[in-house]
Amino acid sequence: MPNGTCDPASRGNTYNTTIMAVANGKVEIIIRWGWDGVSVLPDCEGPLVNGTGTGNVWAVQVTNNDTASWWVHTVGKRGQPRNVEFAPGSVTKFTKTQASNNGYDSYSDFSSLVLDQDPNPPAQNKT
Amino acid sequence: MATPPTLIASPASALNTTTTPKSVASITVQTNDIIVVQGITGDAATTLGTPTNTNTGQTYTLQQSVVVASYCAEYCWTAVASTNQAMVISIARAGASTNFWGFQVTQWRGSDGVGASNKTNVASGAPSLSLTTLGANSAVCVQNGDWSALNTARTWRTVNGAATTELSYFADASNYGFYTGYHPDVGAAGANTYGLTAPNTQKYSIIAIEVKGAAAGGPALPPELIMQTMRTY
Repeated sequence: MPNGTCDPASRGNTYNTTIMAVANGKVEIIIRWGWDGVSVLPDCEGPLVNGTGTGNVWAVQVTNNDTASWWVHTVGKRGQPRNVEFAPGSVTKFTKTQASNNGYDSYSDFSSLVLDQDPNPPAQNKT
Repeated sequence: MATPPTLIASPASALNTTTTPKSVASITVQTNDIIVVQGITGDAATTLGTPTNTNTGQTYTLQQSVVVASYCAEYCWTAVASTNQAMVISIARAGASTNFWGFQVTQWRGSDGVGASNKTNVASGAPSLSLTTLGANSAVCVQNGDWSALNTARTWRTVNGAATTELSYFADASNYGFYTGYHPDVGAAGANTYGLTAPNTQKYSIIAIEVKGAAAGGPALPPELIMQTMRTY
């Protein structure tokens, strides 16, 4: 964990980008987010951030190039588990507003991120 | 010729937290299954303890580790299942609590055992590690930790005509890069180079380990992939 601070500007970026993939890269989530100005590594926190430019204005993108549904399981900042299904053959993009409408406002809403094919939350994510 | 081992399950723990301990989804082993446990932490200041499991305890042998200051720490353990059972594997971390970490499990059937392994750590470059496999048609498990945490496009190296099958990947440009994958059949015994060709400025630690195939007249093999657990924690 040597790379700058929680501030994306410390790496010359306008926002932080977290990527997680499974299933030989067929299933992937990309999260763009900023910095709250106070958090420090490794527990960085910041609001979701939209990219800029045509076709790039999204804060969260979930790709499912598999032939079956996959679920994104997360635990929010207040400990609430969420489980969202993504259909096979889909690329779903959320702006920060759309993500907020689904309960995702900041990076800490993606704690304990799990990608799997089980609609039920992993045991560790249950309240 | 030998018959490559069959991947039965490949659960992984959570990768984006500092929590301890962590566990993976349950796997159901049969006697003589090979269990490979690959752990990576964001920095050598955070170390990992030997895996444990529910039900009958298995013996985990540390095959390789890289614990070098200012690199990702890496561990590769193997176990040979001693009984038929369902079990959940867990690991506790030690040392600094300020680094993300996680681990990957793969369960193999129809193997004559664990073969060769190798490791290295390099300050900058594309992850590269030579491994000379001892048997024909072995599988090889690869793990790579990038202390630089680069989250740009990744490309796995090709062995025996096929790129590595990636199991789990995480990178966030600030904490660490976590890569695990495997080659299901690396062909004839001998030297090959494992790792990635991109990103090519990683500060990396890498381990590769051979899971032998079954020689002719060896253990009977299941005819097909029985189950591949994709849950990651």
